Amino acid sequence: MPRPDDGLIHTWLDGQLPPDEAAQVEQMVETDAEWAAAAAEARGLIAASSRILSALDLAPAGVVLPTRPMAPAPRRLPWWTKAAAAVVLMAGASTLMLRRTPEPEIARVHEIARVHEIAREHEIARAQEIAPAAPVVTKKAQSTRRPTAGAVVAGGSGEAPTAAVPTAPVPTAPASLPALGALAPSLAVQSGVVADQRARIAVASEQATRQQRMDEARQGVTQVLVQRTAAETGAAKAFAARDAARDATPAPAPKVVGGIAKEVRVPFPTHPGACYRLHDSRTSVEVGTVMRIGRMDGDTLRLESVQVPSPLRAWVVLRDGTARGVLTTEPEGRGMILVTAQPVSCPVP
Amino acid sequence: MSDVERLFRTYHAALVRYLTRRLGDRDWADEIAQETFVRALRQEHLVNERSWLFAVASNLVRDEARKDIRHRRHLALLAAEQQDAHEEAPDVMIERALDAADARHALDALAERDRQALLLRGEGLDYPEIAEILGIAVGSVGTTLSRARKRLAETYEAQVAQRTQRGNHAAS
Repeated sequence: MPRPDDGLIHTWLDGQLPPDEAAQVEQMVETDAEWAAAAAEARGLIAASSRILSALDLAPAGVVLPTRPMAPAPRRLPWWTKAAAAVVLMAGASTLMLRRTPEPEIARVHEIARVHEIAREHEIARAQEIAPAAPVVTKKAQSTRRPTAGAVVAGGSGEAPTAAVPTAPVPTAPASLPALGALAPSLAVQSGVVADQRARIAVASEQATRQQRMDEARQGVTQVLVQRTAAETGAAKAFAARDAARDATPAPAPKVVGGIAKEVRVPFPTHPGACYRLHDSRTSVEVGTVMRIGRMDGDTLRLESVQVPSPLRAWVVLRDGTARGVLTTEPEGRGMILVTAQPVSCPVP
Repeated sequence: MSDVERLFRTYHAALVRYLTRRLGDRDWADEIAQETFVRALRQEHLVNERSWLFAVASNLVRDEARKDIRHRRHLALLAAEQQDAHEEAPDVMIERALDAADARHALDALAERDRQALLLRGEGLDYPEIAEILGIAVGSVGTTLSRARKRLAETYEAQVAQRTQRGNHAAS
């Protein structure tokens, strides 16, 4: 009779032995006192460890600092590697900038900025002529309305500059490049510096046109037109308005088929601050409050409640035109439900 | 994945319990369980879903534990504070808290593999699943569990005896 094997006995008691081996162990436990004692001890140990482990279920919540959302751990590199990478990156970026930004283009940017400035000064002068009683616009006030070269280069990413004079109905002045040709004749009728301004505007306009043609050839007519339009005619605002309107449109509710919510395929905004409304994926009932994106982690949206403070958090994965995830529903982070997310307009604070 | 909901409903409670036992903090356990299910959402197909979930959760615990020594320090600090706070609690609460502390001490005394095997078995995983998660042979799971259970019980008993002895000294 072999000596009792603790591993074998535990495997037997756990019901993990094949029937034939289990029968053999059972027979040995029944017929041999040593095996019987080992089996009794194993039974006691199994019961004891089960009881000890269940004592751990009383673990409190909030003992550990809230952990940051877990992303794949970045590889830690030694400092000198990072320093070397930074130097190489900067050198590369500088070279690229120098190669991609020829001097004429930089000069063109300055020219365009200057044209904007001139046009605005001209409009202010006209406004003062139309409304002589209007207070004189100070140099400082004018300078605050001048667009920066960066804004021009940004091509519509910034807000279109306006030249609102406090007391006179001055038209907004995006000073679009296509309008420069029309602007030039009107400048000609002005006195003194107008001739000089006209010449500069004409030069800038011509340069812009030439550049536009080059751009069109390089990037495709449609793209250039879109960019130009957005940058120079205030279409950026129109786009923003359209986006706002789209966000304001209530998202279609999930369709319920046989008690299971079917996700509606809609485009998902992924910029931080975009808002979503969550529905229980099983019942399609709206849950929680509107959540906004805290940050993106790959294809996962980390959502937080727009009502601060709030314990609600959600993780939503964008895939195949659907947004699904889990929502933490209770204050202590306990209890989660599966949800679908639909983009909505953010509530006004 | 169409059966994520089923996955969630089937395994969420067990996974949170496993993680709570492992980590000693319910919030932390919830967070890791949540992350585990988020990762499950990204999977097209899971061959063995239960062992996959527990393996991912175990890996997350391991990675987090490695990264967040700061959290562990904080855990020790707050656990001590909480023990102080429990002195004001009713007797039963004190007893349960002390019992939990002894259990935690006993579990922490185990080798990582033994501890994990014990906790996984506690959630009903079968030997092949435990072997897969731990990367060991199925045949050695029984031995691992046997050793782990014995060590856990012995350490726990020693801990209780020590506490009782301290209590007797204090009383006299």
